[in-house]
Amino acid sequence: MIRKLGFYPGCVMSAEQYAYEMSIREVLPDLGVELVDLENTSCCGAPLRSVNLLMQMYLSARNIAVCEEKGLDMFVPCALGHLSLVETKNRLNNSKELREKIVKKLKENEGLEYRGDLEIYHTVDLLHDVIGVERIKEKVSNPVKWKIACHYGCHTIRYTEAGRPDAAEHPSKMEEIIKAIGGETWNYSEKLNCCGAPLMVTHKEAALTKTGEKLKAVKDRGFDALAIVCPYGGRLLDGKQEKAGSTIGEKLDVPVFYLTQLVGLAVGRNPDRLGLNLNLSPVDRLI
Amino acid sequence: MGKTAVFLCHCGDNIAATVDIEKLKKEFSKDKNLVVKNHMFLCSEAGQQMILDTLDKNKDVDRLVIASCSPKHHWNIFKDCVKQKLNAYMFEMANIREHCSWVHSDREEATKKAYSIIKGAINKVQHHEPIGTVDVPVNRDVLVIGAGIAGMHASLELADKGFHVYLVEKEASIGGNMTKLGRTFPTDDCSMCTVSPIMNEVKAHPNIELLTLSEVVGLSGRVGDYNVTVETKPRYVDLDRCTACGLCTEKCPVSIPNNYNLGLDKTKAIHIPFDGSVPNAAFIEEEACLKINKGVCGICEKVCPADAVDFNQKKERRELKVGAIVVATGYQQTDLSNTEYYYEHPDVITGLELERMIVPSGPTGGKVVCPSDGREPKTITFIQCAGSRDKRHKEYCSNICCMYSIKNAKIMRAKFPDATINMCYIDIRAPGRRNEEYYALAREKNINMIMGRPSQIMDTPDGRLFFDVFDKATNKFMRVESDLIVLATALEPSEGTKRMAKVLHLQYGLDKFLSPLHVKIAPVDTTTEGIYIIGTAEGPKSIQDSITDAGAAASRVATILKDDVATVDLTTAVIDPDKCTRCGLCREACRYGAITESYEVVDMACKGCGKCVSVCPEDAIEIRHLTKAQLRAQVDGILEGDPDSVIAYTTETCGYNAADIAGTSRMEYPSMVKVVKLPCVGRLSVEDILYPFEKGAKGVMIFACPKGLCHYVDGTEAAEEKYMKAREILEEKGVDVNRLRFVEILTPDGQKFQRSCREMAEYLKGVQ
Amino acid sequence: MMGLTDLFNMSKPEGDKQKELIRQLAVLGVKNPSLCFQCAKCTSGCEAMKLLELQPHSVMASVKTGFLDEMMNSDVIWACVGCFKCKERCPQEMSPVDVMFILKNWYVMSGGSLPGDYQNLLQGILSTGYIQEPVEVLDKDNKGWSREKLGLPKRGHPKNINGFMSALSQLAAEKL
Repeated sequence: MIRKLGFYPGCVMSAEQYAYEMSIREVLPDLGVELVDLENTSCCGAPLRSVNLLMQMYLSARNIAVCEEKGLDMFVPCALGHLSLVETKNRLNNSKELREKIVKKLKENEGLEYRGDLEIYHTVDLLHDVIGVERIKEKVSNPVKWKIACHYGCHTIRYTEAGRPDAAEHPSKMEEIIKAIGGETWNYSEKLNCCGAPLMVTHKEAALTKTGEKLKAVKDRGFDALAIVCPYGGRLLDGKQEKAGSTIGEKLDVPVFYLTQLVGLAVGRNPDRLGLNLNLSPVDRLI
Repeated sequence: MGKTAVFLCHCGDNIAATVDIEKLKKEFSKDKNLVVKNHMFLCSEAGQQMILDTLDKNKDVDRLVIASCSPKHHWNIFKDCVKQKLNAYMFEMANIREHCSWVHSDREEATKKAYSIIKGAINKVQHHEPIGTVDVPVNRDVLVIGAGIAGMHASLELADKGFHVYLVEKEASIGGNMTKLGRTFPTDDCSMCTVSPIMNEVKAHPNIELLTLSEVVGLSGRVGDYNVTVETKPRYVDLDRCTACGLCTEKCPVSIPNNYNLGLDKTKAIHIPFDGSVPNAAFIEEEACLKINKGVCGICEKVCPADAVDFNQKKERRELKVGAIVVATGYQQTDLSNTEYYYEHPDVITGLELERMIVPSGPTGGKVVCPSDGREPKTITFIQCAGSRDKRHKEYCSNICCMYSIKNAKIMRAKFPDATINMCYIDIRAPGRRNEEYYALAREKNINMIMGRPSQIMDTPDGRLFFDVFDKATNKFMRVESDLIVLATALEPSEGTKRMAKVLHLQYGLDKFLSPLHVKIAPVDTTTEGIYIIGTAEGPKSIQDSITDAGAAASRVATILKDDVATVDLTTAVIDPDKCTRCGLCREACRYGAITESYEVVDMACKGCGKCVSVCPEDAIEIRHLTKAQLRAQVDGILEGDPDSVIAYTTETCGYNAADIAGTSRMEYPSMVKVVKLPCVGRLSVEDILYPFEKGAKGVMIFACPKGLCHYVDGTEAAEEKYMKAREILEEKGVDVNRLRFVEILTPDGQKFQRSCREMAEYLKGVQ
Repeated sequence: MMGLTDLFNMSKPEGDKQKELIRQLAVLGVKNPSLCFQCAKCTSGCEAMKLLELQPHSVMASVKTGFLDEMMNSDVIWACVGCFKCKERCPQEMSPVDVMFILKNWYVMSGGSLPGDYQNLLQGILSTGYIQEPVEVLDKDNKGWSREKLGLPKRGHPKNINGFMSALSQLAAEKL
């Protein structure tokens, strides 16, 4: 075992994007990461940035405190959640005023002790930096020999100042992992484009247009599939592909996998245990 | 001892707006030993006359304090003034502008601090003694580093004036970046046609000695007597024999990217740098040659009809003696890979790469093409400020990009009458005579000026470049497809410039360009007398401005080397033979071998850093310009003026300069901090560090030049050792060691000075 | 009458609000918008520009000059997807995205009605701690799968839901 981490799935993954969660739980122990479920968790607050930034930071801070109670570092596979938690940790470290305000409320209302000195990992840096590409490579028994486009999602890589799992302009860790498990991949110009997910709250049509354009780009670039690391994005890119297609007047049929599902396939885990039956995009075509 | 005159400068309202000069005058006038005067501008002729008149009228005055700006600013002016009546060292400057009025806003607080600073200076000056001078021979040879247009022009100017010039160039040919350009603004003449005659003139001049493939690696000495170490890489070709026939290149089997053409084409491991290079001879790129690296091949040696190839050449070191040095090491383009500029696509090029394609003798024979497939571009887009005016890359404006991009857009229009030409910009900067007119000519050329800049450059699945941009002028969000994108890439100091900063101990900014002594009134001088900076080593600038610099520096050199003998002050160490026990500690500490076996100081070798003083157990050695008595008296005075002070010992260079920059940038910090200037922090003994605590100071800070950048080799390390020792002693005595701090700081880092002072004050507030 | 006036609606810059905005940005560690030099790179890269015509550079310009109310009450700032491209790539290290977050927060605080699904998200968090409850998802054969059926453990939830809600409602009334 190389690491024991508090597992914080966040709203979307734990409420509907079960495929991501299943593949994480199936794959990580095999690669040396023990996941410990946390009991007192809630939403990370990221969806509330526009409504109230103090609430957002409180929610992020409370989940950090919940994990710190266990004395563990943290694994946050949702990009949106990861950014919110890391950013809040930084902000509370940099502003005495904010820290006092939030810490006091955590203590008084929920009896939580906040320290803010834990490490917070996302899927990309956990696989690439902690587990390491070499270790993954060693375990590969069933290489996935497809052409796979990588989609990091906005919050996995931006913004640099907050400290992200990979570089903002030329991220490459997902690509290295894809290559390690036998896939072929290359850079494409739309790689950093947004999938539209956050717009679902206020502008559904626009959100689906962005999803459609992103998937069309992946298709036009000659990829067989798309790999993702964000449940918020998965909800649209995988779950609403048909709708996105009709919004932009295109037929879209891009198989979309969570990166952990692809790693699971490559290291020979049972496809059923990776939640592949729950992917709504045509993943069967490849498996 | 006579009386002391104190002169208070208003500096217009620079000082007087924050410091109550009248109040200070009243306070100091209470002391019958002081003659106190004030003036609106002490540095003016009238101000200086008042100083002279005061000395004339008060014959009992034998020393003075000038409370005004930083000594870095006007020390020489006041020194020359004082010298007319007294010894030049019988005065002390109290810096109540940069260290007081410019960094505090509360009038009462600032006045209190000014009082304390001046009190320190008055106390100190009581211990001043006249310092003599000595005449030294002046070496009238000159070293010019970098043979680009600025360095060549300076060399020719100096050589024509009769000076012997060593011109050192790290490349195999002289000429620099200007040889790579197509045409130059605002005259649009062919760059090589302008620079080539200058290169040949340099080569032919009897007073210029050319050293190519050479770099300066060491420097010692002082103005009029510099000793420079130059390292020359082997060329592996005998310059006298090579006829530049090119046969070796033809036969060489090793193909390598042609760096001169920015990798746009290939060349061989042995090649002539470029058409018209000087010297016009082949050279071997060491890293690529099979013979040198693997001991095989050697074809060039066999085929050379002139028998010029010589694999026995070795790296050589040479010592040059010169009186002055001109640094002209230039710029390079900033590397924008791993940014949003999509530098990886072959058809995204820099302005300099486009220049190479414009040159008829360049890699494409003067044809502008898309490097990816050699096709003629139908749409060419210029993107301005690529990396410039960008805090994430280069905060400064690169100065020449607007003009050269306009020029290149004009050239593209002439070459491709039907092409679409776009330019994305923030603002067009074409200031001064001729430039706006030049821009106006370009506006007639049907160039789409897009007022906005792209966020990211992309390409389509079949490799065509495009980006989206919002144009503020038309209010349109546009997709711009281009065959060729030309980035106006930010300029940055060349690697050589960055190295010279270290080797020559030159001051540089946070942007890494070399800093002049004074931005406005001493633009080519540096903080080291006898070393001058010109051209783009000092900042991005045009060819015209570089040549102006070169002329100015040549004139400065001629001034400083006009006589065979120079008079220098004896600001050196001196040993009291009655006290000296010949223990050897001072000799061990001195990095210049300035103390003889018979314990006498060699004035010509001593740099006056004072490290010897800090180790002498018998108080037998002193430096004339900062004696123990002076230092302690100054601290006493400051604490008398404000018992709650923190004493900030600074080096004369980085530390003091950083405090000055905090001043000129109006970075406020707590007024309890008072600067005490040392030649080098190596001057501090453990007792000197502890002394302020004994006298009740709230704290002591030591601002040292960063390790490796000490102006006296290892003064910083020496001071750190004493600091550690002082900490131990404080701890033993039960004094809070956090009241003593050691900070390494660079000249431009006024922010760090401010931060350090604030942190100290904050801490002291907390423990009270 | 001194200073600037917007002749379209006769409004004037609001210096106090501008100061408050700058203060709140500082609390978040975000720089004062005054450094913006209007290169419009943010707008060129804005994910909500083409579809929803969001122009971050003009939000910055209005904020810089002090015309805050107009921006605060405009629909267009709700089009921001929060992708952080403007912040990442700004040559002056400005953060239009954070400026818009604060303006939206103010709009909500001033009693403005929440657009789109925000009311539901907020309600969800206040009642259960999450924006949504776990659902039974359908696979391609229309077969339903819950967490339980998939063998996934129950997800965590705020143990002291009253304390949790009270903390959030206190914060809703507080200034950043």
